[in-house]
Amino acid sequence: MLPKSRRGACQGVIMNNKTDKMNTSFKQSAKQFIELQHLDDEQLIRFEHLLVDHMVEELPVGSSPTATRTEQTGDLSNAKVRLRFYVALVASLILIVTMSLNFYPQEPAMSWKIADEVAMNHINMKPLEIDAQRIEPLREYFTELNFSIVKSNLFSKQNYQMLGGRYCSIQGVIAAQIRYQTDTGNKVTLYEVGYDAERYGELPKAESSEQALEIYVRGVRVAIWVEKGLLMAEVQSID
Amino acid sequence: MLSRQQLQGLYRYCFCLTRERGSAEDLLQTSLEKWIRRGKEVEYSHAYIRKIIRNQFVDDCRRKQKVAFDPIEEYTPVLLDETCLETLQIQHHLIEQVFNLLNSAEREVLYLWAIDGFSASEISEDLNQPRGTILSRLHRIRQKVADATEEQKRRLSGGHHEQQNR
Repeated sequence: MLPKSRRGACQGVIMNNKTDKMNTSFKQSAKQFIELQHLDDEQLIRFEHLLVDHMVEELPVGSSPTATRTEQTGDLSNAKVRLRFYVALVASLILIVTMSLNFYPQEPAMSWKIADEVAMNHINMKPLEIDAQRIEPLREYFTELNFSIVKSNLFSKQNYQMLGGRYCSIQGVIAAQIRYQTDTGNKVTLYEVGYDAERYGELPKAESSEQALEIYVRGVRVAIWVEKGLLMAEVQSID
Repeated sequence: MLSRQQLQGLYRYCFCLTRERGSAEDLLQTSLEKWIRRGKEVEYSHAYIRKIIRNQFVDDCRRKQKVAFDPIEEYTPVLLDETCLETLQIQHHLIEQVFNLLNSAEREVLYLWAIDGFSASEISEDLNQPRGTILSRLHRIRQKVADATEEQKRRLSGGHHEQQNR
């Protein structure tokens, strides 16, 4: 049976009941797939250098009206050389700082980035791709993940009602968002992604009874921890 | 100076045109160099830099003697409007396969529709092409999604028959 459209003339793609659970909005899938494509840090730094280097060429010319053309050219050359030097110095410092972040513990910066990203996802509250009240249908749905979603012991204590899930990403890695509702109707989102200590830094581990990292960002509370080999983040409103 | 988010957005547009990461990066670099050479008075505009990228892509294709954007034949079927695509469903794991089936013109329209959220009229205005052409491309996209889904069903039922015959 073809679904009815609003105008009565569009024909949707036919899906049977068996595959319904696996289906998602084409627009969401396309958006997700395209957004997975990204420049890595090294490529971004190269482009930033490209932009900075060329800004040197756009030096505004400001010189005395009585100066001769030769003097003006000389002044311009000297100023250009000085500016090039300062820009190169700044660019080098940026490069050194960025590279040093790869060698030194980056816990505060990366945790904040994760918190900020999941907070944004929570605030945007995009439509669920699959409705589910148990974890098993979600596990069947999330075939694109390179990990299996799990029930968090820490999170389960709060006894929220599961609503469903959708794909998302955390720092460029495909992740799962599972949405819950509290008994007062507030939405809580739980994010799961494979934990990589090199990428995400050292984070509290639930198995070692360490307290989750709490960060307040964009008016919401974010808790981040590692459990069963996954990085987990819980987001909810502060009120 | 462009932010990282702006760079990522433009890179994704390049990827949609070229379908290949290395080519997308090259296209972005060449286009940004052109944009920069136009001087400081040109402020950042996503649409403006996209036009530079698009023109560069056409030039690159011409040099390689390839067609950049396949023309639409007359009397090609069209969608009524882009809302017909809004209700379209797909098995998520097929998206990459569908993406690879699309030509560059279709991938460009997909980017503007799915990422920038443009309507068919807005895409038509942005690309300076007739709205009918855009609707034809959207129809083609929908058809390719249907084809990929059918192919998947055939593959699965073919596997089921093989098991039954053993």
